[in-house]
Amino acid sequence: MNFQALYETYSKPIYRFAYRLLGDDEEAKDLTQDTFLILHRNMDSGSRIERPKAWIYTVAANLCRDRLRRRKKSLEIMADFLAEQSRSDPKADALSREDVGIVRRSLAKLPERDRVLVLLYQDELTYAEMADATGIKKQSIGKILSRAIKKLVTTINAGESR
Amino acid sequence: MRCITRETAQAWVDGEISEKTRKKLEPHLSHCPICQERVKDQEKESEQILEKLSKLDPEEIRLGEFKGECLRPIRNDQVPFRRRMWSASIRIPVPIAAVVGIIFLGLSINFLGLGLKKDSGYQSSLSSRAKTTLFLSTADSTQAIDLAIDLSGYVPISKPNALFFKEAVK
Repeated sequence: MNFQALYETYSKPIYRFAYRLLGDDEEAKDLTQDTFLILHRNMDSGSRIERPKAWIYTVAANLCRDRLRRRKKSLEIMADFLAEQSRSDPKADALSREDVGIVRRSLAKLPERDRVLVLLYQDELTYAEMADATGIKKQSIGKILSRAIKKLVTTINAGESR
Repeated sequence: MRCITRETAQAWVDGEISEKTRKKLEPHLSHCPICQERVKDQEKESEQILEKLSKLDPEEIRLGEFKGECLRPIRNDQVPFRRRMWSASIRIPVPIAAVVGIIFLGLSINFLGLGLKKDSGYQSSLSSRAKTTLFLSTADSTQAIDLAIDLSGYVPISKPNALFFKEAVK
């Protein structure tokens, strides 16, 4: 697969992934560009990428983590920030603003690793690809994922029932 | 056979169970209501989460074409020879000149600053000494001050000698 084909296939999923995780359109765009710039440099230098999907998601997940760390905000502040983002989201206005806010806040309450994992799960990555992207052992993915899903469901349901 | 764990149920739902394990689990799952319930729960939760998370998706995605070539960093061998030479001719001597300049400036300030300080210190101390000495040895204060002023103009940088003043006054 050449670079152009990879960009066409994965640029939108990567943007979506970054947007869900960072909650900001501009940042998500920057991150998508950075991810593909790194991919381009690697391919240009002649490096062979065995599993491009996992590779691209790994780079994107790492860049997302760097950005989240740079924000230096606690989970509480992050939750507020994401809730604020949801208020200015036009789609959120059209659908249910409150619902989106609850999902964002619940997601922000998960540990960073679990948050990334759940979003990779949403993008239909296999356990092997998720393991590559997060650095978690493949054997542990199911366990961590099931716990994260359970926690997220409980938090969302608790938020909705209030 | 033991009932499956939540983790295995998740892997079952996600199709991440190996063929070998699947064959092992199937007979148990087919008649165990607890395991069937567990798998069903896991499936429901996963679907629920995917549905909820999809609400976070952006309404539309507008990404431009990736202009990889434009963003590629310029390698050194791609820079014209003239520019490289110009760059090298600036890169090496300028910092050296700057460092030498700073050292020279620092030394100059240090040297001049101390010299002036020393000089003025001596001047004032000499003047007062001269004034005192002269005032004590002469009755006319006006003359003493004049002499002091005259003396301060001729004082050497070296430490003054009390005798010199006494002699000078005489």
